[in-house]
Amino acid sequence: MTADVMMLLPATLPLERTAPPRRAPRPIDEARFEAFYRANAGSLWSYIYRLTGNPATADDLLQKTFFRFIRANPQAASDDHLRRYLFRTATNLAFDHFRETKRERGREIVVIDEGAHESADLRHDMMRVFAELKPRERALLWLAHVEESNHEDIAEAIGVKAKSVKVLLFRARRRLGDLLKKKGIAS
Amino acid sequence: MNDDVCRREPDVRKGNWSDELRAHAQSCPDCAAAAAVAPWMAGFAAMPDREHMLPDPSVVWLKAQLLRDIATADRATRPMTSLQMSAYLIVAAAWAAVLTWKWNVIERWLHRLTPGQFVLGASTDAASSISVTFLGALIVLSSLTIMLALHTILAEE
Repeated sequence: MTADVMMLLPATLPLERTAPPRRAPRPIDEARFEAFYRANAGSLWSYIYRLTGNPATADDLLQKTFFRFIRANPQAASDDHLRRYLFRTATNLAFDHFRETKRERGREIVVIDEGAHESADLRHDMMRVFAELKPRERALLWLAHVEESNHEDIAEAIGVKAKSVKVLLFRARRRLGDLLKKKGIAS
Repeated sequence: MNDDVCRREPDVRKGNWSDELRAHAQSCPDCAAAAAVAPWMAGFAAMPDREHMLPDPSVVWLKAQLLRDIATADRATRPMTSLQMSAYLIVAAAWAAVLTWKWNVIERWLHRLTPGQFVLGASTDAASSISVTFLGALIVLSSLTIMLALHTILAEE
């Protein structure tokens, strides 16, 4: 800076000018990503698997969700916020998947090749029951009952208004209750 | 049904039953619906699916980096690709314009290029009927086409 220019400048600059410029946020590093992945990938995979009913699709969508997560560069947010972001992204990807495969109700019945294990049969039966619900109903029920998300978080994840969640969740529960009664699982 | 979420619903979902909660669930439609499916959902959530191996985080991280690099490269080369496409269109349009402009002359010239006409020396006349401007335009366009083709090949390599 030349002396002439220095003369033109006021003795003290306003605070916002003297403050150091804001640094660009650093991207998430591999160590933090790995810790976050290990803490959340399991429950996220279970959620996607229950939505799609297909382990290979769940693997695929899980990876896509984390690709988006890394691309979104989420370094400043809390883990809770990041977890909500993950579930919202996964829900969107699963719904997109249903649209792409043109299966109106997103049914993908899992073929479990585990012989005659009792637990495998039970799992198969439960997956079949759940697959009879609409994808949005499955997402609602899982987020409310398993993830214990509040209505605002559920609304954010499935892309509806928070006020609608109460009614949608009530209907989803009633539908599942009717299915369970029909199959003789619940009284 | 009012819009407020019943504050007892979490207890119903978790199965923290008491006589008071049972009495409440009988009169609250939300809690009754939640109570009807909560045990099944708990069993469904507890279903053992953890024998499934999750993708390794380092592999996911590496793939994400690769995808990000590819996306960055795509973004960086987008202006060049647009420029290249524009150049193709301009050269193609120029060829179309030149050929349309002098189609009669070209047709006559091609007709005179047959072996018979060539022996009779008609090709010399035909060549002389092409104007210098036209010839110049042909040379310029041909050069541009060759340069564009070379650029495309070299850029791909």
